[in-house]
Amino acid sequence: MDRSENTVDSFIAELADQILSEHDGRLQDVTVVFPNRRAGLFFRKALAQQITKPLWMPEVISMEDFVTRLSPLQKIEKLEAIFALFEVYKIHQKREESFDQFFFWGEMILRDFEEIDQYLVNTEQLFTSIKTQKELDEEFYFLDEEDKAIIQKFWATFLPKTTKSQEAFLETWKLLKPIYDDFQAALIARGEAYGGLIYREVARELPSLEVSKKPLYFAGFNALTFAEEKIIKHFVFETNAKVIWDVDRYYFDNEKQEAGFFLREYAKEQTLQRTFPEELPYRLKSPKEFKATGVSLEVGQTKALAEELEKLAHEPGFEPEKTVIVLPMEHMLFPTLHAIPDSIDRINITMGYPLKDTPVFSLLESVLMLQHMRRESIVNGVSFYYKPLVELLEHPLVFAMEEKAIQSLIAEIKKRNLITLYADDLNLEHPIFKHIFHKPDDAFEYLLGLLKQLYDYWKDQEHDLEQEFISRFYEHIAQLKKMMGDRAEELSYDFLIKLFRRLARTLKIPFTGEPLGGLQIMGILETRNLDFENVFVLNMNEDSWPAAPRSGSFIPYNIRKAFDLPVHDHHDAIYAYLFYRLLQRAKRVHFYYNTVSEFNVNGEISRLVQQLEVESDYTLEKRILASPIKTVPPKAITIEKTPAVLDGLERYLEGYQGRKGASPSSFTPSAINTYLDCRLKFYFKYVARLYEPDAVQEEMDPMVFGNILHDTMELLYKQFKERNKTDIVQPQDMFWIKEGVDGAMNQAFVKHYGISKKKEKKFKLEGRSLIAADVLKKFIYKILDYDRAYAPFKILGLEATSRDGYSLSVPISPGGREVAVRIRGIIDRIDLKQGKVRVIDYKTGRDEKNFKSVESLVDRNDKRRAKAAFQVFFYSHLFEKNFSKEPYETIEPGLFNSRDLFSDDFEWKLYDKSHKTNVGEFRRYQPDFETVLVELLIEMYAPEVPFDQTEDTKKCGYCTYKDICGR
Amino acid sequence: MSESFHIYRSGAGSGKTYTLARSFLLLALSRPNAFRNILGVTFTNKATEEMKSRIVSILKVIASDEQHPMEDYLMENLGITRPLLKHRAKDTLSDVLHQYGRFSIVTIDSFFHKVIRSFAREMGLQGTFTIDLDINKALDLVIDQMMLEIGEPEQKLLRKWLTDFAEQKVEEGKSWDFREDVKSLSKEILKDDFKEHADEVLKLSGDKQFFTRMRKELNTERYTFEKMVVRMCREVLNYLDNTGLSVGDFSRGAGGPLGLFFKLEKLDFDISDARRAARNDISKWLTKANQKDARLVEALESFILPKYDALIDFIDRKSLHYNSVIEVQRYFFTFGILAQVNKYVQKYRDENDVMLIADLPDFLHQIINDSDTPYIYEKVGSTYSHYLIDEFQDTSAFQWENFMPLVKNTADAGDFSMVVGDVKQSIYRFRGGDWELLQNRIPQDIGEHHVFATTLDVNWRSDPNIIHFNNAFFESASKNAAEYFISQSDEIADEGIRSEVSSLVQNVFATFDDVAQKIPEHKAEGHGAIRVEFIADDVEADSWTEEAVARTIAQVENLQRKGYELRDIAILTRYTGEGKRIADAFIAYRNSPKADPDLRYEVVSSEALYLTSSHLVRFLVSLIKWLNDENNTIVLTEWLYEYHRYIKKSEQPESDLFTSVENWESQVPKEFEKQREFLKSLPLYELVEHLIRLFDLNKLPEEFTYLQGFQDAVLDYAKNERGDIPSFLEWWEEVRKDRAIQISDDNNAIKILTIHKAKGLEFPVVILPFLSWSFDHDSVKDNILWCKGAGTAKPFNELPVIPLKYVSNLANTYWAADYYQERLKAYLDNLNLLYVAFTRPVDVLIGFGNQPKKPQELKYAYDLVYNQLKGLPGFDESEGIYQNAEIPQAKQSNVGTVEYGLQHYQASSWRSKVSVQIKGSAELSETVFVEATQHGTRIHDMLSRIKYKSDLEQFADVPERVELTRVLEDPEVASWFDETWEVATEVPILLPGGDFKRIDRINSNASETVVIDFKTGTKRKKDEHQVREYVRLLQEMNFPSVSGYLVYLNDVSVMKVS
Ligand code: SF4
Repeated sequence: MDRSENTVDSFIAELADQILSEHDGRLQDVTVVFPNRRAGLFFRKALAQQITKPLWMPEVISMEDFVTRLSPLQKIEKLEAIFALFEVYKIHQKREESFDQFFFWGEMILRDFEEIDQYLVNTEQLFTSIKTQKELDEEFYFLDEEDKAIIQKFWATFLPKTTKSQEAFLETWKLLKPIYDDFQAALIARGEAYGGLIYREVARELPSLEVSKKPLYFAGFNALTFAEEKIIKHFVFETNAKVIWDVDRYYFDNEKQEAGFFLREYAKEQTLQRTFPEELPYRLKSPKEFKATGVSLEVGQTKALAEELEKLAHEPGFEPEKTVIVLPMEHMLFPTLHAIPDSIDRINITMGYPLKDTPVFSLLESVLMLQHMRRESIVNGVSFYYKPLVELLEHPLVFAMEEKAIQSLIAEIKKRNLITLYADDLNLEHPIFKHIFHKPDDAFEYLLGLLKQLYDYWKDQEHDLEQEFISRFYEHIAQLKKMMGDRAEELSYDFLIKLFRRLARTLKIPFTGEPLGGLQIMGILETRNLDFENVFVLNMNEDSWPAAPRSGSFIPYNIRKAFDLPVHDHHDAIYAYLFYRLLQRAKRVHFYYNTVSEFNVNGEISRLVQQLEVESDYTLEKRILASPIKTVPPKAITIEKTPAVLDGLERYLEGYQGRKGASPSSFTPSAINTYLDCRLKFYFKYVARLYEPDAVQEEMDPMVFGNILHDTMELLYKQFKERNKTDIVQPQDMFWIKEGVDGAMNQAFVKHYGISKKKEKKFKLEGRSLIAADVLKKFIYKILDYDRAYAPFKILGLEATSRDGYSLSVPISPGGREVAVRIRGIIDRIDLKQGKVRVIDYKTGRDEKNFKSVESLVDRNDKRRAKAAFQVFFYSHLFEKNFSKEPYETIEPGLFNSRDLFSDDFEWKLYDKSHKTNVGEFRRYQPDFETVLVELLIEMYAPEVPFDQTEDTKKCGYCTYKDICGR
Repeated sequence: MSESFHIYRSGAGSGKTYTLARSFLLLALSRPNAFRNILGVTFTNKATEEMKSRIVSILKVIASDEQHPMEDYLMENLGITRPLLKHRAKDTLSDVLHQYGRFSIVTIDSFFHKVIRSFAREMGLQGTFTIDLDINKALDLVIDQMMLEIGEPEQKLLRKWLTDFAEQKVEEGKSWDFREDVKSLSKEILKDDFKEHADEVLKLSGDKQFFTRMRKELNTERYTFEKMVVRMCREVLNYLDNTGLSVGDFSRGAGGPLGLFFKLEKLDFDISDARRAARNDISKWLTKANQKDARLVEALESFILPKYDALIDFIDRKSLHYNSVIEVQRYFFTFGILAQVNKYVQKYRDENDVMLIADLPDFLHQIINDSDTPYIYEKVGSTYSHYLIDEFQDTSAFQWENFMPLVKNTADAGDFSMVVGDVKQSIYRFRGGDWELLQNRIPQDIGEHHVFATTLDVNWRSDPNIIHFNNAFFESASKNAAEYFISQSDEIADEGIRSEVSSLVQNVFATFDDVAQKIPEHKAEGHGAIRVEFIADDVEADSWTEEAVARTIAQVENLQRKGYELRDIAILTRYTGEGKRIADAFIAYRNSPKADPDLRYEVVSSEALYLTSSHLVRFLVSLIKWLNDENNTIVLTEWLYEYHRYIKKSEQPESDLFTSVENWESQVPKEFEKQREFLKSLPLYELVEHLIRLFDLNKLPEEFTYLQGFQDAVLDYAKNERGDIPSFLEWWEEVRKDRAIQISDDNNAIKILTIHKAKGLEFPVVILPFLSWSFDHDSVKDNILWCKGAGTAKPFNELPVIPLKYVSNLANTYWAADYYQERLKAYLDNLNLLYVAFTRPVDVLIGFGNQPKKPQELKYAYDLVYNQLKGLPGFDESEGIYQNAEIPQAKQSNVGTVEYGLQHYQASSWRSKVSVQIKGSAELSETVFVEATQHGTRIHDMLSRIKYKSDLEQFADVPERVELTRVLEDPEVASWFDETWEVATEVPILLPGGDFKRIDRINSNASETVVIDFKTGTKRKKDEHQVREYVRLLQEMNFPSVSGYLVYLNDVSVMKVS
């Protein structure tokens, strides 16, 4: 027989070699059974490397397929099995339980049944329950002494009396046997079975099975279920089938090594005994390099790995296919992929691209979320919450369909602060939106329809990847839908969605690549039977390798133990075997592990590494990745007044004509306050004019809160003026004014949110705004109370602006240049009583009415600078400059601070701390005020004074620009 | 009687964990596999890992040829020889490592969690429930939902409660927006205090009428009293008016006794001692000038004085009640809000299948109360005969109640169990930790006769000078505090309350009775140093704290000159914000010219080195924000600026950088511009990797750790949540202020951490830059006391519990004792904090405080420290510096595991190497996927199972039977299904090099071979090629005279291939 030369360095290759030589190259009658399908691929490759002409392949088959083939029963999917189980369950369970509630327990019962069958447990005996001491003593005669003792200990706790939770336990426990029987019977009657049941049936039927005597190999098995063991033994006994074990003395000889647990058992077993060779290999003695690198958290592990790979790739004779990266945690796939250096250009990934990470999934999620938060009312129909809606509209897959319209819709939502959006009002052309916004009857129909439209849109474009994602989802949902059949109707929308999400989270699309060549990336289970020279393992932590034990069972631990059902020791033994097996033929092994327990990532190094460290003769080189930390603090930002910068200030000057993008403007007190707070902030806002697009403020922020107050007050008095055709408010008018508060406030909101006439009727306050409105209303009533006490008075101005003449040009000469700066204000209210003018601002924040001196009003170093006082001084100044002709007795600035409104000694006047008196006449302060104002404006325009950052970092707290400054 | 239950009370550094490990080993080495029945309980995950690795490493040493100090103890107590001990250790070590899952050292929560899981079904839980660790997130969602529904008619009452809340805030001068406040208030429902009363609260809050009535009643009580007072005042004031007397006529005018009427009229009820003294003393009312004024005297005697007396009397009688009304009203609304939040939380739990971590004890309580211990073990799957509980002072009463039955069970059986703890180190009361359990309660709970208490009184950690210092310091400090409290309680009017409080004081500070520790024999005296500096306010720096920061840096420099490595130094702060401040200061200093080039200034901290301080992280976040919303010019400016200034390290002036924002395209890598749309469609994690690569962000080694940390955050988010940009950004806003880089302890840098986190750790040098925490609760924060209504007065006694805000006015209510108790405990918490901080160092302790203004008031930590140091020999009052010894030279410090840094931060693109398999599909319809494809494969599959005609039988009942029959009956085909052939289906052929074919059917006999391929689709040229190749292959394999056929199943047409 012709065979090419090849160095035998793996289990699979050895096996290929053995089989080829045992059958002299005629393999068509040979069957090789592996634990999984994947090993078959590598086996084929190994064969291909050893032959020189076409070969009729032996049959290569996984154990599962092998067994299934021996049975006439049809295997059914898990979901179908759970449905079938539910049918039976309903009959036995007296309590009303919906499928939704059952689902999880159904999974658990099914898992238990699978195991019961795989391990050929006698259910009659297993599901015994006892009521008396006598039963306890007699019931378990069939068990050996040790198991009997274990199980008696369990049931002894039920005597003499059962507790409530034991009652609850028994309630389910007693159902399990009848459910098991009926379930099994029902399935078999239909010719169907779940996996475990097929094994059990096959094992049961073995004696009557006709078996061919063709050569049969079982290769690379470790933890066999009893059914598997029985089947294999049958073939060994009847047909002299061969069993090829992949085993090493390191863990086989040492009784404590859980890795060798199963194999030691088999080596003792009568039939299997002879399948073990005389002498076992001892590969875990040959020279190997071990390294363990500790890294905080996860991404760093891949970066550390990358450095090693880079080094490795430059070693002479490096063959990528002899290298494997094992990822015990699936989510490490992307980080790992990005860590493969460019010098390695061939890779193969066994794990599949997770569909949950595709944009299609995030779109579906958004749509589902949108529907989940949908509301309905009889009057206005279906409506949506803005958050998921905006998220959905911004999604690249739909955004592209109607960019313009979506953009303006989003802008409107943000600008108007729309929280609830009615389906009728969402006017988007593309039919997909109609579909998205309708109220679905059937969750699956809904998703399928959506995907179809998406697909149709994207198929014209060159988007094969998107198309693929869409059609994969479509395929899976269609399948799910088919499987559910009519049953879907009985299930809640929310449950179906849950089900879909769960399914979607496990879906993968295979990668192309080099299935058998290239650097291999795989999970732990996929390494079964495979061997590599270089092994890199990430997440080498507890709960990762070994993986965290699976979730629950209805069968308590000790009962499982007594009946030889697998317990977590089995699980650990399996992972230990996989670990040591992978090391057997490797030459270089690097572990990467996390060192900090944070964010739900286990920080405990794997026991397997610890075992290796303590027990083996190998030295494990341990090191910690800790890159130096030397970030630089943010640098100071200073904007020198270059000509370009100065040019930005022109628009506030008298005579400025306006040009593209910069119309004439003027300074308000808030601009000046900003300048005083921080020159840089002023620059950003008023010179560079950096703005943030509106964001929906679900609730009113403090500014809006204030605005509503202003607007409501304005409206109230405006309406009064129009209604009564007078400017003079009398105490008795207040009754009617108060009546108007609700209406005026509503109007203020409507105006604030820019609600159109058409939609005004639908408008209602929501969420916290309602509370805000309640609070505001109290303020307004209180203000009106004070007004009644103050009346009669005359209204001179309401929200008075430059239109009403409240503006001014202030001549200054910075750096010798003669210019005039425009300033203006919007004054909440000006009234007049017996020659006294009040210039009033309403305040809803923490504003101070007290001030030290006029200078202090513009002293940027004063931590408690009275900004509001500055503002009303500024207004009074505007008033005086523009309306000084009239012979007013006094002009008095004042504040209606909401905080003070309810205190018994409410006072609206400002308070001059240095003179210890309330501020009466503004004109006494005016000369000083004018001086400081002019000085300030001069500084603003002074070329030598740059725009720099405030020293008081407290001011940065709520500054929009703080991320630029790094404050 | 067996003393099987040991309580180890211990001071700092007295080897608590050592004792625990020793007990563990003693039990574990007593017989094979004994370790499987021990449950070790620690406070944190980290402590769990440390305890495990400690036990493993001791076992390693004992099992080796070396000798471990613990060996003698173990030999003696086990009664075995050294060789036997070593042998057992070896066995036990490998048992532990190979049955690691049985090596049960766990946190309380994880143990509880395990129990609950095994009882899920019985508890009626949804089986899929997960434990929600992120309470903030849950509360956010819950509160959002609640707010959204506020407008519904059935939520009217809630709306009223919330409005009350908002108003209260505005009146306190805060913003009306109470969202955050509701959230922090809501955390109350997770606390044991609330839970204890939750049922009652819920029951009451459902009763709308009750509340309306109660509110009214409280209002009436309040206003009746106030009106009464006002009326009494006015009476007098009117009287003055009527009689023509003026304020000035009386002694000291409005400032004198008469002023009380004005004050009270404004409802200010504070009556000074001077005014009280004027009650029956007319001389206090008259000035020298008008002593003889008969009219005045008459007015006083006949009217004013009696009224004055009556008024004060009235107030004195009623003020307790009145103040109680005021305080009950203040937080009355929390009742309603909390009850609602609680309801919503319940809904959230059900809808999301989650359990809040705070729910665990509750559920457990139901399980444990109902079951016998053995049954619990049966369900959980492990039996524990020994419980070893660490840090017991931090256990909460709820937790203990759940443990107790289990522990008591072992104690009754005579099996050894133990707890170890230190009341003085109880600093987690805010999380429910209840030191009284350790102090007083366990012996009763377990049964006195089982209990054996030991005090571990040797301090193995600190140098003698430090031990001496602390012994003296805390003894006098606790006395000082006790005296202060006693003197304070003197002011309490109510006799009963006063004595209650003073006995409380005794009890509370008794925890420091055993503070003195011994020095181990082998330690030489005279080593170790303490230095405390009190900084006056008139320093040159902006504030004393500023100065403290500067001096901290200077001390670190000094220490280095004495040979200390940075890793030897820990800086402990009370608050995380302070830690950040220190970290920032070190970073800024290192980058300033002041830094000494020969010294190092690196700091590490998992609480202070926030990701947001990295330029790369800021750049990335801004860039991602911008990709999400390209109209946002602020974020555009942000990332451009970061890019130029810190990544490209451009020196351009800012004015240029900010003016060129509009043409950003020309300033960034071309690839980025080109790939913008593609980038947006990437999963989040990938997006970040791409950005790193496109912008060369991996070229700044000094920021690698931050970049890594950020990517971890992204990964963490993407693996749990949806990986889209907007939801990530929202999440980031929430977490950014807490996300710090994670570093291993081995890093050679100064560690900055909070005192809370430092508990259980030790460091050669400890620096406390701000000894300035306040001893009382922070008054701005809402601390709620749940007090009993019973035993007070109407109407309070109708309320089983009452939420009261912790304010000093509570001292004037029925709940004065509750108030003082809380206040005392707060003091103790903070005194404990000082104890924990002072006992961390091995060699050196350095602290900074403000020069106290009123140290006698014990407001801040430095007050207390100052009081104890004043007058000590090492205290230089003029400098404000205390130092007891020269700072010693550094000892040799041991270096941990090898450390290395990344040379290169890989961020490659994988798409050129692999891609996703495209299966493709021309059309989407359910049948395409489900039916058509399946039909083809089904037929194919069936054909492969029919070797001969008779095999058709098995498909008697399938719909495809018709089709199959049609094929088999086709005259050309039929003969191939004769039994004369040897038939193989699905024949796999492997070619050298790895190519692989599967031939549908091969019929062969001695002289002839027929290859047949079935096709379900339409005819294609390709098909012929394929069959031709099959023929060639078989020929090559020496099959006799091979011919090939194609069979199209749709119309059953047969085609010979030549
Ligand atoms: S963050 Fe601070 S320094 Fe920067 S602009 Fe805003 S206020 Fe000024």
